Amino acid sequence: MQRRSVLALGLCGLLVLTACEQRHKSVEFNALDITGAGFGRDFKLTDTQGQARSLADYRGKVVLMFFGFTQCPDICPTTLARAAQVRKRLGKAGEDLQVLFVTLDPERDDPALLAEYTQAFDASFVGLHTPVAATQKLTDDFRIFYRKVPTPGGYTIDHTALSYAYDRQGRLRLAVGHELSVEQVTADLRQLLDEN
Amino acid sequence: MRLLIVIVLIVLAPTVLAGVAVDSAWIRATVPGQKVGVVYLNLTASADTRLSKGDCSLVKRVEIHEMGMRDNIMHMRELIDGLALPAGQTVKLEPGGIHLMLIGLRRPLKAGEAVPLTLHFQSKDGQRESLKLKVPVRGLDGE
Repeated sequence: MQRRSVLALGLCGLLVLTACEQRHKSVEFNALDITGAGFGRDFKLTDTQGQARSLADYRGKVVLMFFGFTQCPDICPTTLARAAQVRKRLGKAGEDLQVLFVTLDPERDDPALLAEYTQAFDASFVGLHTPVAATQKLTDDFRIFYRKVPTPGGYTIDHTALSYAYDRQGRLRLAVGHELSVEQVTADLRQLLDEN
Repeated sequence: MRLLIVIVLIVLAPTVLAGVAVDSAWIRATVPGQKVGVVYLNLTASADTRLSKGDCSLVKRVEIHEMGMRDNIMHMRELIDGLALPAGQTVKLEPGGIHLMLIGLRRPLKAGEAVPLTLHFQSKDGQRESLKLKVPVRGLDGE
């Protein structure tokens, strides 16, 4: 009876071990792995040159996408600065990383300002915009929260501070929190870039 | 019967100036069209005080802001009552936390220049102090 219990325990242990091993086989990211998410599949936006853009235009590249506004003093420049540093750290592989900055404030972010702002971080970064009326649908499609908050001099915007990472096939893979370091994001994107 | 002893201590308020030290101050560069800028710095006061406001000739006004994060959503709020600086504690104003917001930039801020900024402090007992700084501007990427 006792021997049987020991055997059962041993079997359980083996199962747990196997489960652990299997989990280790799948790739682990620092960011939240949202592979298979049913949102954020595609967009129809306009770049600062006036060219219509969809996610398919960046197929073959890893895409890092962030929603913000140029009059945002802290989180947007901090996130874009991190993206610029990540791209530098990736070296040659960084050429296959496309950073997209989507404005939540098309009223104030005209294409010229958007271009100047995004390219001040890295000349390869692309600023995207949509008509004001389409912003709500866009953010719903990407589960991005944003809200205008009145200030004495106008308004500011509270918004989601996550960046989304897409793999080379254009599949949404990661939700990258603002708190992750340059090193952590570099490691995650390198993994995506190394996939075929 | 209970004996009640009342001891009254008269504490003379110390007349110590807060002596605020500033280090690691920097401003992020801006591009033409950007109307706001941001200042980061570390403040260490030798006696309890409060950062009450800031002045900068290049902007309409300076506000003290705190960025909060709830469910990955960024909220930004002005600290209307200023920022408490407890004695001996370094209070860091850094990306993703508290910052000074430069509102209504009269011109873009270029990396490499130094921006004049005056900070005003006021302690509970009314002690006032000001500090004039020249804050270096770094590139948009913080480098």
